Amino acid sequence: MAFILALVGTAQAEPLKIGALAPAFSGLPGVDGKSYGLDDFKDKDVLVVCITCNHCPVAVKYEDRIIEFWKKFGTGRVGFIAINPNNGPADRLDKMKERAKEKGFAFPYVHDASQQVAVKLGATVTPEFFVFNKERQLVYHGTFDNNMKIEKATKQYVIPAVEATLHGKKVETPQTAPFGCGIEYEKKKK
Amino acid sequence: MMRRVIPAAVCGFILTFAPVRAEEVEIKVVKLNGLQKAVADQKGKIVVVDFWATFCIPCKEEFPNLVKLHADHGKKGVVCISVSVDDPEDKDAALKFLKKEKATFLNLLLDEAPEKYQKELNFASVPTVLVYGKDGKLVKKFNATKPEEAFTYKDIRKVVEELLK
Repeated sequence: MAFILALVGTAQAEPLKIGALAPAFSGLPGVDGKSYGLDDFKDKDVLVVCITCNHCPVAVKYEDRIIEFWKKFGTGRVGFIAINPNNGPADRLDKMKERAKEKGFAFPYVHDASQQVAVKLGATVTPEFFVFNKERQLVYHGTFDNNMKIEKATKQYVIPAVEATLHGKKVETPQTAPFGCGIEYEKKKK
Repeated sequence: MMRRVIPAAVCGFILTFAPVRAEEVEIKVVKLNGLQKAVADQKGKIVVVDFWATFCIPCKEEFPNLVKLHADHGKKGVVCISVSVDDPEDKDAALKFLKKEKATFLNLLLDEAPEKYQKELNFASVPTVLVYGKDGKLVKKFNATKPEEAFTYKDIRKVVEELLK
């Protein structure tokens, strides 16, 4: 019986709840050579945090959509940061820099090597999106849209959440099931 | 005596090293209740359900270990089931991978909205492996939502081999 109870295990990490405050983070190295933290976006009315990475095919499928999102919203009242919590060979900072250059990422793309920002958000896949209002309360969590294949994406989620929040309106769909590659969480080496 | 032993030995050799035919590997598209039935039908045995996808690189890297688990324990009452969470229109790509891996156990493709199966099965990401005991109840869910939960088939085998005792 004890064995079975041990097997059932301790509670899994829960995703950040709608209404909860964004976790503080700082000092995440970016592909542009700068370090980024939550406070760097304090003048933005909305902050979109995208947990993503270099190698996941689903994350790659969303790159162009993120680039377009940045072009439309990124230079105004909306802050955007892409955070990579994976540490595999294809996800190292030098590889992130290569990808950012290749695709022309103009937004902050940073590395969360300790994986702790992802843990605090309760993120489990890449890509996974968190939209915060001016008070940095979570107003949307989940996918960017309803299909990783752009030709089948018929419903948007992040953009309407951002637009509603910018206009002080309630987000119609605050939560969707995240879908992508599992974040490659690693046990800490002793 | 020797006339009978030699052909038997040859047959034994051929059967041991006979290659798995690609047509022995199949995939079946199911809804959530189909997956649940597939597990329930194996009551009395230990069931290992491996959720994967063609876009999940770590899933595919670990998959040979599911195949090995089947080879090592399949005849001892351990049932291996793979469940792809790919889009059903990617079924052929999933089957191609399964054939390459010689996955000669039950392979399913779950045609269900993530909202539904994630809530019902209580996990949001792949790779995920569920281990059910002989009583049909879930014994362990392997799914990493934080660093401490990172797992490999080494961890899964420990649980399975303990249940086999």
